[in-house]
Formats: sequence, C-alpha cells, structure tokens
Amino acid sequence: MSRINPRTFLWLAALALVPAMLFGLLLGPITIPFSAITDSLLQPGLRTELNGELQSQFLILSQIRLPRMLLAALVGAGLAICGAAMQGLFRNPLADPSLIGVSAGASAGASFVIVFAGGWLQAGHGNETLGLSLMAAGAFSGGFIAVLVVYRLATSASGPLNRGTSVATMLLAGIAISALAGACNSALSFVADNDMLRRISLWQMGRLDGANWLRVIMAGLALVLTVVGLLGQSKALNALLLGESEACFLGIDVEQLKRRVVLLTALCIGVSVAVAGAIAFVGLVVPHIVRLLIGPDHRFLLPSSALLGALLLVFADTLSRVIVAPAELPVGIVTALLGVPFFFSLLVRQRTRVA
Amino acid sequence: MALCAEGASLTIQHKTLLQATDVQLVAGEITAICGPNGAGKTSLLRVLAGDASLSSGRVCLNDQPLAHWVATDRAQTLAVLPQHSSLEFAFAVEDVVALGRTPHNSGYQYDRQVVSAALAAIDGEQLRQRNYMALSGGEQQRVQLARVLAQLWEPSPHGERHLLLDEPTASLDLAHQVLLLNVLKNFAAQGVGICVVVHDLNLAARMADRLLIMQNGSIVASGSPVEVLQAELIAHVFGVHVELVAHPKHEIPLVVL
Repeated sequence: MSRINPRTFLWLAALALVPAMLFGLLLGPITIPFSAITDSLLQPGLRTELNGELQSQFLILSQIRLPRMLLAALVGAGLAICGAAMQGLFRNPLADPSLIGVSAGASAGASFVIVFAGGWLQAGHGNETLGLSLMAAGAFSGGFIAVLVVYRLATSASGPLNRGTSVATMLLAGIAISALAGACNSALSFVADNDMLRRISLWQMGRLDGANWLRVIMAGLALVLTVVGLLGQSKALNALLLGESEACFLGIDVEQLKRRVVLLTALCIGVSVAVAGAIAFVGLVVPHIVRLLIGPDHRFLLPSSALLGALLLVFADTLSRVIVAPAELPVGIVTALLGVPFFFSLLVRQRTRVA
Repeated sequence: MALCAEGASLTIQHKTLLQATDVQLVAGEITAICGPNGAGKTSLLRVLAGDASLSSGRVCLNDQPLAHWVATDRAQTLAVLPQHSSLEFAFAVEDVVALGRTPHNSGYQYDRQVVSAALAAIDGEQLRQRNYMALSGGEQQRVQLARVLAQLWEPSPHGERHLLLDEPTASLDLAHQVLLLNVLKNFAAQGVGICVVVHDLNLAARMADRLLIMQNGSIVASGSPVEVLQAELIAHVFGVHVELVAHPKHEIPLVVL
C-alpha cells in the first residue's frame, strides 16, 4: 500500500500548523502586517509610545485573533480526535459526533442550562467562569446520554453474536436523537426570553466569534485530558476493530475501554459545544483523510487526526472571516460546506453495506 | 493442565444450544468437532473460549476457572479464531497479524520477528504489505490464522497454551488446507492443545487425535477417528448413508459417499 510514513505525517501536520496559524493571525477584516507581531513581541517598548496603530494592532492580536485562533485549533483537534475514537468504538467509519446525535444532545444540554440556570446566573450570582462551566456540564451530560443510547441501540441490533455495530441503526438512532434534541431545543426556545434565545441560537450553529482566554483555557484543559486519555487506549482500540469478542480474546477489557472512550469523547464534545457550539463534520472528514494517508492504526491516527483537525478548523475559521469581510460566516457553515460533499461520497461508497 | 468444560450448558432466549457438556482438551492434542449445522459446535467453542455466559457448569483453563483469569494472562494462554472476521478497516496485513501481539509486552523488534514467522507459517510472506481489505476470503482467513498463531507463538508463563479454531478451512483451497493441517500438527507438537471445528470428516480424521461428534447440543460420540467414524453413527447423525474404506497409507477410515 502506498501510504505516508505515520511519523513523517505527524511532523508534516505539526509543521503545517505554524503557517496556518500565522495566516489566521494576520488575515481578517483588518489585515495586520507580519511586522506587527514581531514588533509588539520583540520591542514591547514601541507599544507604550504614542504609536496608536501598533497599539490597536496588538490589541486585536492579543484579545481577539490569538484566543480565537487557539480556540479554533483546540476545538478542531478535539472534534477530530473524538471522531477518530468514536469511529474506532463503533467499528464504523461513519460515526461522527454530529451525525450520531452527540453534538445535538450536547447543545440541548447547553440550552437546558441556559434556560434554567441562566436567570439565576444573570441575577448577579454568577460570573462567566461559573456560567461556562455549568454550560459545559450540561453539554457533557447531553452528549453522554446521546452516545450511550446510540451505542446501545446500534450494538444490540447486530444480533446475539454481537458482531460489529449496525451502520443503519447507528445513523437512524442519530437522527432520532438529533430530532429529540431539536425538539428539546425548540421547547426551551419557546419558554426562553430574548437574551436566552440569542444565546441558545449560538449553540446550534458552531461559531468561534465568542472566543476569549477563558474559553481557550477550558478547551485546552478538556483537550489535554482527552488526548492523554485516548492515546492510552490506542492499542485497545486497534484490537477492538477486530470485534468485541476478538478484542476480549486478546486480553482487552472491552467494557472498561468503552466506558473510557464514551466518557472522554462526551467530555471533549461537551466542552467544545459549550465554547464554540456544534461544529459539524470535522470529526468525520479529518479521521477519514488521515486513514487514507497513513492507515487505521490508532497510535498514529489519533494524534494525526488531532493535528489535522486543528489545521482544518484554523483554516476554515480564517476563510470564514475573509470571504465575506467585513462580516463573517459562522465557521460551522464553512465546515459543513466542506464536509457534506465528502460525506455524500462516503455514503455512495458505503451504500451496499448500509443497505 | 488442560482446558475443560464441566457440565456446561448454554441457553439463549429459551433455546438450549448446549446441554450439560463435559469436554477436556489436552495439551499437545488436536481435537476436532464435527456435526451437522446447528448441532452446537460453535456454541461449544464459544463456551470454551469464555465468550458466553453459561446457564450452568463451568470452564477451567489450566485448573483455574476462566472467569478468574487476568485478561492479558488468559490471552497469552488461550487464543480463538472465530468463523468470520468483521474487520472493516484497511490495515496492512502485517498490522493485522501484529494485533495478535497485543497481550504481550515483548517489544517491537521481537514482535516483528514473530509476525514474520507467523506469516511464513501460513505461506503469507508475499501478503505482508498488502491491504487486508483487498484480500480474497481465503487470504483473509489465513491472515487471521497467522494472527492467532502470533498470539500463542511462545510458551506461556501461565501454563499450557490452547488454540480454538472455528471452521478455519472453510474458504481455503486444497493446498492451504494441507498447510493448515501441518501448521496445527506442528503447534500441537509444541504442546499446544488445539480444538478445531471442521465440516469435512476426512480432513477431521486426518488431523485429529480425538474426534467429537455433536448433535442437538450434545456430544454423541467421542474418541479416536477410527473408533468414532462408523457408518451407523454417520447415518444417525447426518442422515446420510456412506461407505467407509481404509485409507491406503494412514490408519484412518475414509468416508465415501
């Protein structure tokens, strides 16, 4: 098979992130010259002088673009690594947080918190950290329940011998969960006031324009936990691709593995929904591309997916700020536009198996 | 030291798949299980593998109940080759075989040697870099066989090794059936206890030290191929009248339609 050496690929993806992030910093409604970065970093003295332009450029960089770009990278990495892990867990390349209802469940959980705890938070008791943590907890619970339900349905449908998960059932369960979550969202919107409504609508469409350092830190913590946790399971996930019984014969504690993967992905997706809304298709497209290039070995697939996911979302976010400048598209629209044609091509290839 | 089932019964959804069965697989011996479709061959294998929750009885591996084993210790001692593989990801063949090394912590270099040797044993060296998904059914079956061979490649620190195979010859051509026969004989000679489900009575007679015939979830005959293969028994179990003739070279009967 003509594939790229996985280690080479890891290095390439990491290297490609540097120029992508640089462009992300410099491009936007206001184009910032590269010298602004070097000047403001290397000669902090220049900033304090009466250099208004550099001052404002530095502010844009440090308060808007840098946290936003880091958030894009962290969320992209998290979505992609979770997508890869879920596809391993379901033994199915179509499993994706947004397709099987995990993102929808998570955003319903977040809406729930906005509506029922929002008033309390706004009454002056809360601060942003608490509000965001609560929202992340709500999103985590919603996502967690969604994965559990879909997994139960999809595995039990495959018969008593438990060979593989049923693709059709998995996707149908995803539709059902998404519909249920959508209904919850609508019901919550119905009882919400104007301010809540605006905030709820934010979660249904992934966007990064609310980025700030607090969100970056939360997403960073969640990502570190998830990456460390999932990388520890990569050998077990490889064995699981053979089937649950086979993994068991190879000495893998399958139940424990499933618990860990479900918990970690629900955590990571929950936090990413809380900080950036439901961004679709990153978790589907990225692991696929990586598998085509370096193969399905999770020891390399997981970290490579994380890097490529970061790269993709940084790129998509830059694009979303540039194409309709000075306005901007929510990044979820850009990833969906990139992801949907890709998903269709996968469906066509998988059609026989789904049927 | 053996793998044994004592009074093992298996009932799934009110259907009895296995009735209070006693089996003992002895290290270094090949036991073949034959029987008509739905006789409980695969169920017996799953019970021996610890892959089914028994409704009664128990299964012991080297004098210790299967359930009490540490998972990785057990995997170093007992390997199972299922009838079908559900692997749907495009691993290279050598990576599939290397999955057999999962329960071992023997290091990358050593594992690579084992993978090479296991591939050589199944005549699969030229498949090494190929995409598993692009192989034919028979080739995939050989690769899966190499995987379980790699899993049991060296003596286990936890007692005699046992290998269970469910219809490993199903999609193999004649040459590879003979190859499999020799691979299993070799493994048995190293002290591995082997239990294999086969449909071809002649192949079973040729490979097995002991032959089990199953019908309706029970073992109805057990013994050496010469003892077990009788025309009346075959007529009774399979409902087919056959002739038995002497093998020109070996001390086994040949079943002729």
